[in-house]
Amino acid sequence: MKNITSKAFIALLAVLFISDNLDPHRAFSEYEKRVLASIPKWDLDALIDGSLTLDLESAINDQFIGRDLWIQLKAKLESSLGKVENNGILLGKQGVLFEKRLTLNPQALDNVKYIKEFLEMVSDLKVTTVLVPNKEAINPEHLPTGFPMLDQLELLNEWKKNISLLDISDELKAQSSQDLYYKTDHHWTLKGAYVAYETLMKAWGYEVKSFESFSPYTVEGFLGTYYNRSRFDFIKAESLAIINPDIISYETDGKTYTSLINTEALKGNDPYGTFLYGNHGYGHIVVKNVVSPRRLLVIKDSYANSLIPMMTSAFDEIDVIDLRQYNGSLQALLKQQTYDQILLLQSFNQFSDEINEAKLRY
Amino acid sequence: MVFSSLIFVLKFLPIALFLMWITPKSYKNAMLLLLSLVFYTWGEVRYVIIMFVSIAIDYTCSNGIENHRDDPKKTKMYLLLSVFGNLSILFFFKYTDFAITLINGAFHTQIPLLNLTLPLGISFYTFQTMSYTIDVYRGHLKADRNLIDFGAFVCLFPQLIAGPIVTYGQIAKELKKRVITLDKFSEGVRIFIVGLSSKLLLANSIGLLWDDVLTLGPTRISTPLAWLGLVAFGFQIYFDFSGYSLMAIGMGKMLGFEFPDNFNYPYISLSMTEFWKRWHMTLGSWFREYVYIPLGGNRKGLARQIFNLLIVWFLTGLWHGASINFILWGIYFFVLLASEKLFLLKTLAQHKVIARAYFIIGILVGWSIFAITDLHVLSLYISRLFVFKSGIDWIYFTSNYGVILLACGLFSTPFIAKIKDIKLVAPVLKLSTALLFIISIAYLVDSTYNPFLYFRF
Repeated sequence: MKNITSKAFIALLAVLFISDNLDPHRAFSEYEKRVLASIPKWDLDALIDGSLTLDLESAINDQFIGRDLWIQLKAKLESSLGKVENNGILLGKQGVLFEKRLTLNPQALDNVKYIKEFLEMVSDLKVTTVLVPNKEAINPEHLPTGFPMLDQLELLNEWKKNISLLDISDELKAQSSQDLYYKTDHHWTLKGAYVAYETLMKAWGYEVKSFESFSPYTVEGFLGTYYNRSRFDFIKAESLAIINPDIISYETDGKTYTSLINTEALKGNDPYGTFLYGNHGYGHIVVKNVVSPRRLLVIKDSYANSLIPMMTSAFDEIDVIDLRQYNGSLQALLKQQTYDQILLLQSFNQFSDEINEAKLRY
Repeated sequence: MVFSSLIFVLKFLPIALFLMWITPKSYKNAMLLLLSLVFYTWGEVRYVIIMFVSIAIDYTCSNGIENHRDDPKKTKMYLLLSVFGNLSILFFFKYTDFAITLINGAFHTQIPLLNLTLPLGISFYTFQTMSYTIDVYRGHLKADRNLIDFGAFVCLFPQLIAGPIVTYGQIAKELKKRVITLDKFSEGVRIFIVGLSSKLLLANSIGLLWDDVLTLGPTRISTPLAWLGLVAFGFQIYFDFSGYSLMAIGMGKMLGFEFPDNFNYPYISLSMTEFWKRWHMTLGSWFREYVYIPLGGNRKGLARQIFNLLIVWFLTGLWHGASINFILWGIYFFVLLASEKLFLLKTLAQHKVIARAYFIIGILVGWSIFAITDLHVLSLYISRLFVFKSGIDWIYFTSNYGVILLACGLFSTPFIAKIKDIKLVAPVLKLSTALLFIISIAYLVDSTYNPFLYFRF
């Protein structure tokens, strides 16, 4: 048993070295949901500028034998050390997951400017702007004790001095015990979206339908984006509530549907994508054929996807624009079409990171 | 290539050990040189030229001195050529942009920056080759006539990029003839694993705490968190740097070399004087041997000694980085060390509790100067340390990093070294070493976070 450490060390190095070289190449990682780097081709220029060795290193890392198991081992060790943070996700109280945000993305300040310019350009139209606070602002009691999370409400109050915002944080706060946000995902729940619906209807002077009258139903087994990033394997799945109102048609990306709900998506990796068939640059919803129709334009991120089905209670036609995929001219659209209401709705965190906000002005 | 990477530990190292094992004795140094050059040029092919220039200068100068022993003019010329050559290389790559920034600031000029990447390990190998020629000049060493052996010394991959600073004299014998026994190899493996896990499991983990504190910035954090952040940084830099040194020492042993120790539990010190005898010891002895003593050391009266200390600490600060804060950091230690020499040490020796408090506060404030390059942020940070602001943010960080903080604290003391010879403990430690290696591989694979602090020194 003498010198057992060095014998084991040499044996382990040899076994890993040989088995890794025999291990077949993997193009895609199901576990990490991304394409893995592969061994680069020989290229003298790439060697000299250093990119060849860099690519080779990432390939060796990505292709390393048992990669998923090693990563799981690390995640297990981290949580056994009492850490409540992994890959930028915080484990809060009662199993609520948060995205770790210590500071404001500087992009947000540019985006505030873009909204201000947009609002000045369309000052003759009825535009309502909502930046939805995320769960850390509405349910801070679920954050780990003492975590210095970025204060969204303070920033919203500051921005309100500069741009006209419909602030729905008080309304959300008043209902905050009602699970307005998913525990394992970055989105709000249908109940969260309903708070926004109620506030908007009141602001616009339209009739408010009750939550139950939308006949919501739930599906079980929802594990959201924060779960996938954190790899906290002890987190339990939650339920996802859906409403499926009657519509005549929903046209987007060259396809026409007769429903706003894609039940197929519930089986896949992104169950929230059930609403509006996910995110698309432009969508056109026809709710009913009436004589004097009421029309709505929503400029949005994915938060609005679960809100828009409720909007069918008050509008007959709804146009939906997602700046991330929309490549047309918004200003031209606004000149051609007339809308009774225009709603710009984004969640705080997605808004802060949004690199397409400038498209508002084109 | 850095040691704490998958490609190094699980590809380069096994190949290197295998090739060194099968290479016949007379070609071992040639193989070592070849492997070192592959290691060095990995990702930085262009900069290998500097390495060759550095080898050429010191090979020529040392042999020039050796060949003209009776001609003091010529030997002096060769010495000056070596010192000038090495310092020019170091200055050009490390300090040119810093100098340009200072000049632009002082004279409102617009001289463009060079934006050079600092060649790996340049601060270390220029010092090593320079001291070699100085030692030959002093007659302490005979110049090495064998270019391959000399090249292998300069490029020696285990200690090339982050020390310890090995002088030629320390490994001259092993360079010509080395014996590898299984016992020595095993000791090397053990030290290497301890170093690797210090870096991956302790330094990188606790470094995340300091990163968060720095991201929040001095205005948003409470005073307890400000201190906690510095504790985290202190642990990070210690386990990072000592981890690297241990990996180097361990690999040296695997290859048959005995490198000098670089750290000796610096955080148990009771004064700054003691700290600098325990921290980065090879740098301290380099400055003592090649700067402090040549300046006259303590032999020319107290005033001169204090002045010599100032020079040494100014240079030590500057060596750590081309930025004002590193110079301030050096001066800060000069002030503390000079005060200790003049009067403080006597008081400290009598009051251990006061000495420990003085040392801990002193070293943490020192780390703030080291870690924060922006002087405005630094001044805000220091005022946050001493102007109390309450808050609960520290609760989160102590609970999330609690276990790691305790582990860092424990491994900063000689606790393990004290218990390692107890009968029942020894097998447990052996098993833990094996486990640590496997865990380290898991962290290497999941190395989304793997910056190396001394990489660009």
